[in-house]
Amino acid sequence: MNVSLTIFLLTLSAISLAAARHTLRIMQSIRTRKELCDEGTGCYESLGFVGCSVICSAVDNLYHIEQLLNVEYDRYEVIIVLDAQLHTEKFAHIIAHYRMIKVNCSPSDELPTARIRNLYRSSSRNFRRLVLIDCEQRSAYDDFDAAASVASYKFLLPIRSHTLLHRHAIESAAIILSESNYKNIELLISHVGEGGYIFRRQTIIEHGGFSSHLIREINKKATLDIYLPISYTPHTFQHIKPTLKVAIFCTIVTLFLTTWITWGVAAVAALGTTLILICAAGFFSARLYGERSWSSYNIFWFFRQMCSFFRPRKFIV
Amino acid sequence: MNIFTLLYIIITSAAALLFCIMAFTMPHKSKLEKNSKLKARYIKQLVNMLGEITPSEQITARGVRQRMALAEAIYIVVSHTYGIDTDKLKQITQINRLERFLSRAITFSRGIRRSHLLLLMSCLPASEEASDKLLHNINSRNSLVRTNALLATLALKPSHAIKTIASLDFELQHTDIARIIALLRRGLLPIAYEPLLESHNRNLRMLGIAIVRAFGINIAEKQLCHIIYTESDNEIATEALYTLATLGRTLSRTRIRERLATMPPSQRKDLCRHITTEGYSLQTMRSLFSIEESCHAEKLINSHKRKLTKIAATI
Repeated sequence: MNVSLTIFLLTLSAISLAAARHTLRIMQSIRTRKELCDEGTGCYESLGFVGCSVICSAVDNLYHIEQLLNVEYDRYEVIIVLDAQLHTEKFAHIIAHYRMIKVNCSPSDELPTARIRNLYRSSSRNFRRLVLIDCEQRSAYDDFDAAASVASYKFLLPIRSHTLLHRHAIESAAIILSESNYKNIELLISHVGEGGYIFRRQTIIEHGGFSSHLIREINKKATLDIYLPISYTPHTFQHIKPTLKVAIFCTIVTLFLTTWITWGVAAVAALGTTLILICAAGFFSARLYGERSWSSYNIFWFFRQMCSFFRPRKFIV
Repeated sequence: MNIFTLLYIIITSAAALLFCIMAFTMPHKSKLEKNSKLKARYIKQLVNMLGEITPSEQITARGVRQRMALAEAIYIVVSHTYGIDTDKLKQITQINRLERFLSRAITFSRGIRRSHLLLLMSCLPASEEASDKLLHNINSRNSLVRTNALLATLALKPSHAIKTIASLDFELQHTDIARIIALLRRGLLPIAYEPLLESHNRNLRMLGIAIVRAFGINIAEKQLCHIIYTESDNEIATEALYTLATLGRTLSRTRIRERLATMPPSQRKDLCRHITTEGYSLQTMRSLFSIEESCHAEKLINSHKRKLTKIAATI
């Protein structure tokens, strides 16, 4: 057999095995979470005193805030960062809806980049977990820094606009982080769906705040990879940038043409079945974590997560 | 087309087909609906029988599907109620041979399925002999099976609870302890906290501290302080310290201060933030932590306060 064709088939086999392995890991993790969280609902309180603060940038929708507040775990809070001068109406609406009052706020020594104009907490007992920050809109990283400076808990989960939390995401993260084996974990990375990061607050302070190269600076030994979905956006394939869509289409067509010209129809069939296998694995894993319909968007993310090994370790928001 | 390419195409196609079939058959709506309807019917019958709302009718389950639905219904009812009449449940279990059914199913299953069946077993008023059959599962390599087997053993043999936990050759995680506490809340496991706190076994001490925290036992302050002063395991001492703070007891004691001084700075900072959020005064913070640490605490405390007076220049 042709040496180049052998190498090509071996590469395809490695990709197929990676897809199968990724799917099996997701399946195992989700089944474990279902057994732990669904059957033990309500019994997990202050697990090892692990607490999580969800820090949100550009979240101004009331429905979105309600969804973020709808978490059963007790040591949890939601910190929203918004520019009151730019989004005057939405800001006033949030303040009125949650009966928020202005509280004292001094500049942070821990994170000098955090420049908070005003800080608000809810006067209603039902929404004690909600904190609102009025801060000049610069970048998402600056918003996260501002939120991290007032966060009460040990772990931080950054959230962007339109990003929602999966059911039991916080409970399952707390279960993992409370285990004695993972006491020194600084960063938790989810490799499912659109992924997600949970940072230790102290690590953020030591690195001078959030930035795109933050993940690269964190020691790999202090990083934990998990195969559980944390957050998602209710987006479809249409939300992907047209340039990216064209790039994907061109890559696939070029790949098929090159394969056909170099090795013939048999290699094209092998490439085709490999792509079908990845799509099927992506579809199956999407169904596992609750997506009800066929979604090319989920398959796109499945493929992206599989390729994350080759991508630079960057914290992109 | 050579044989290897053909073989590769066949294998990948089969795998893709398998994933598609698994994705489409996974929810299997009609079967799920049937099972949940059956379960709901059993739950209704059980609640009526236990609450004696209407004259109780005989609850019968024949076949694997019905027995499984009944076992799950019992699990749901037991895990959501307190002080349930176990005699009536025992009668249902015996009539429908649920103990034998679950024991056999546990033997022939593995992994997460086995752990689920063990969880169902923990809510069944089964005989003490059934717990002996589950003992070997406590040493399973699967942590979920291990924990659920422990829960089932504790529920079936509550009198041997301390002995069983003391004999464990693995460390109980916070999640495991939370699930044991859930058993205690249901009234299935009567354990006193005092012997646990006085024990030298790590698992028993951690469970004791968790019980004190979960039930807000303020009178355990003396024992908690003793653990903080004398415990060589830093994890247990920290847990006791956090629990003492959660209970809102006095922290400004010399020996607690001495213990705090031995802790790493990151742990001290975490504890400082915890104590602050628990509502302790700035005076307490200053007596326990350094000036720099209490400065952060002061800012956090102030961020929960509203300024009531306006500065003259701004008016």
